[in-house]
Amino acid sequence: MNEHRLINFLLRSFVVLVFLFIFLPIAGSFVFSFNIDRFPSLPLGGFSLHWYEMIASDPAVWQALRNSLTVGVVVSLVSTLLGFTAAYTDFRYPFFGKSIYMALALLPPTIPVVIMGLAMLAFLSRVGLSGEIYAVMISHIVMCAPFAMAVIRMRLAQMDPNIEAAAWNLGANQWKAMRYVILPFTAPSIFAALFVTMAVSFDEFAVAWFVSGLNETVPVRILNTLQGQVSPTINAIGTIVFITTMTLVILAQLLLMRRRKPASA
Amino acid sequence: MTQPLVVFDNVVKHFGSYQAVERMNLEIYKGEFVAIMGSSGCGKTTTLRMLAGLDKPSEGEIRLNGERINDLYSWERETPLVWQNLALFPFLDVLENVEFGLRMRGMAKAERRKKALLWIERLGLEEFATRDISLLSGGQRQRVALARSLVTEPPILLLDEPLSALDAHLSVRMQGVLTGLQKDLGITFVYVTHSQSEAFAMADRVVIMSRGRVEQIGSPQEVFLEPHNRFVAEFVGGKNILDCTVVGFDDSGLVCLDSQHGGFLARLPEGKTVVPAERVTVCVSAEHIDLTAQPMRRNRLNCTVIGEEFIGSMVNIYLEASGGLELQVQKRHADYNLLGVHCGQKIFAEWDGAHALILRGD
Amino acid sequence: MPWFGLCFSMPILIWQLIFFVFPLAFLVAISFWLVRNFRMVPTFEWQNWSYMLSRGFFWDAYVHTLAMAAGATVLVSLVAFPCAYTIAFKFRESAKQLLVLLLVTPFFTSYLVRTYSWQVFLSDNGIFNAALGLLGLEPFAMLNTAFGTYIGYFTLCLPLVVLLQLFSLMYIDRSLIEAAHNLGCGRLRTVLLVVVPSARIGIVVAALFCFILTFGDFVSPLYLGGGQPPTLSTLITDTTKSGQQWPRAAVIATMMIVTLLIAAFGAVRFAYRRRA
Repeated sequence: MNEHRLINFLLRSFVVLVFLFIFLPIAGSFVFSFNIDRFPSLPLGGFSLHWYEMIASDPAVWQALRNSLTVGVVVSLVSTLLGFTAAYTDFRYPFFGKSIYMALALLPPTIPVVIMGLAMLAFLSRVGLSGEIYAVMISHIVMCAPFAMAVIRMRLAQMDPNIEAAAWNLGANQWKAMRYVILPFTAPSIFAALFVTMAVSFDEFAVAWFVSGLNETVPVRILNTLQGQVSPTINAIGTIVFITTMTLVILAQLLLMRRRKPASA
Repeated sequence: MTQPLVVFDNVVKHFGSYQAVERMNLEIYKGEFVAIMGSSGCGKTTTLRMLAGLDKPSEGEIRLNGERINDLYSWERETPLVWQNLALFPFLDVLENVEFGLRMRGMAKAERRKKALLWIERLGLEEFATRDISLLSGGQRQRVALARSLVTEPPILLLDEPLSALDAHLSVRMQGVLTGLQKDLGITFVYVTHSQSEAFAMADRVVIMSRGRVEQIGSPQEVFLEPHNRFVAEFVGGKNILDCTVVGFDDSGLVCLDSQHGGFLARLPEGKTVVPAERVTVCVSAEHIDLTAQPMRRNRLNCTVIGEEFIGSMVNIYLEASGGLELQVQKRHADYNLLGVHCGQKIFAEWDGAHALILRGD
Repeated sequence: MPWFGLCFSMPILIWQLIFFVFPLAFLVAISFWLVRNFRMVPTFEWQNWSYMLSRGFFWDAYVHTLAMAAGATVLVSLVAFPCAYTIAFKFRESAKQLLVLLLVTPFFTSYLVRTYSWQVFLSDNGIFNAALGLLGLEPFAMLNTAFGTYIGYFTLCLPLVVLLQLFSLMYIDRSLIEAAHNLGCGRLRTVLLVVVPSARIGIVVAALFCFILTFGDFVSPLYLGGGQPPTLSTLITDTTKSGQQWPRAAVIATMMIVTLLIAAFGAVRFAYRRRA
């Protein structure tokens, strides 16, 4: 029995170590963003908001932020729409070749971003869209729609398929049933999909780097900083992005809880 | 003869190679309570769904008020269905669920609220009107489903095994609610069930189905007294089946039969004829068999008592005759006590020829 | 009224065909094009292929990338499993939910930022070496080595692999494990003979994702591994950055796609194989 307890203790310690490893760079980034040293070492230098001041006064960062937000909003709207229609199709219709259809809809996240980036670059420059903000939007929609579809499909799996048929039976045609039954039921997952796709787009750096040209998004800004004048401003940007994303996620969660009626199915 | 409300005209339904409903011909009249019954896979639910517009007939025609409705979508018909699992909308409260059909018709909010509340009261749900449906009991949700279907005042109501999820007590109570409702409203009810007791208790006519085929249509009494074939006889229960061969006729019009268990007399149902050497099936009700040590009738079998079963006010006695034939006899408690039989006892089972029915079909 | 069905089924199909399938097919196609006067000319020549596949540096990079990715997959899977196992079986439900939440958090942070953070920790004058110095030990080269690349790969893949293995382990029928113990199977043996095979699909899928991610990653080899020897992804980004030799980059990308398809096919076959 003693051996059992020892093993459990070791296992749990191992889990702690793994989590420490995972969170070390995150915590480090947060701390370094407030550290005055350009190349932090031990002992740590003094507290400073210098890096935050630098990005606040850097027009390239602000432009990147504007680009990221524009892209993020458009991508989340279109991806969620595409994902919703795909999820509903999977839910309702059996048809010949469905597995190929599903593969097409869900495959993008499995393709390495460096290959996607090159493919999108070649294709979009051929049609003259490379280097434009639309290039990033198009690429991101391809990559984010599967996430939206997965989220919404999971919610649809929880729905009693009879309630849609019940709506038809009670006088609602397919469009009305969609509006008065499917949409209300899947609403929480649609919100979740909007946020997830926005988060994925906001953080995507590789394909964006290939196709955005001079219209940098925030991650591309970071990547270019890494390649050029490496600087702790990266930490400042990273911390702000993290806090913003987390706030959005928490807001989304609160919104979902308030919207839901008590103990809904 | 009044025009039937619903007509199934040679309706066939198959899903790929699977034949769900074979050549169904059925007429349902206004104000009737019709029960379609059978075990799972017999096609009863498919029949109901075709009437509701949720499945399309492969062949044949369904007519409502004389008009063909095969090509009408479910939302273009007035055939509301009470689902087996109720299918209430989880994101709407009781009132919103009930008024749904009126809302889809475009009725104004104030008016549809009023109508919905009327039906909510009628079904005794006033205090739950604004409640979330997940907080209701099974019986209450059942009534919400009913109100939701009836609020549009349809000519016909379809019900798919609505009582199967309720416990026995509640089920019997709801049976009363349903029959009362149907009589008050005068609407036609088409009710699908696998429970023989439910169907017989509530319906004016029953339709017995097996493996996609209609075996018999008739009032519960007709079906019970004169089953058409072996399947129906076994389905309604309390019947003993014997396989016999026709030998001839006796003076009183009864048919003489021979079988591996001996010779018997039986009567023919109206309109059926037989010829000698023909193989037939004979059916005798459990309550028409008497047990005695001194048999006096032509129809008799030497048996051993193998078991007893107490059901409410009756007793079922099980006997085994030569050749492995099992018989079921039903007696009232008082008569059973007078008999004083016990397991293993040898006794004779006998019955009148008039109580033995030659079945029409196989 | 098939309109309704078409309205819902067509959008994503059309979008993915135009903006996903076509660009990838186009990529394979341009591997047969030539560059003349800094422009790509549509044609069908094997020139790029014969060039690339005869170059030593390509095959060096190929083998190197394959080895690194395979090694990372094995290591990450081995490190992740005890962690996922412990979370699945040794923690209360509430603790489990918290840990899953914590595992999801890295997905909301930037991989690039975390990589940069590791640079600070691993650099020759960075945090770790400073700590070693304080303890009187010699500095240890971690950045710009394979070790650095592996730290980066772990940062990229570990949370995902743990999560995927965890989901698979959580759905194992506990009575299987109890039955094994009951039949005298020791704890470790039970893990190896009962738990691992039952979670096979999750473990293999997690490993496949890890392989795909590390095979294609260009951040860790470059910013933590020093960029030498180059990986295939580094070759592609270099080729794209420095000029218009996209056809040659397309050859590399196509070879990567083929490799990944083989790996994916093999993994799926292995994961879903039925016992003979």
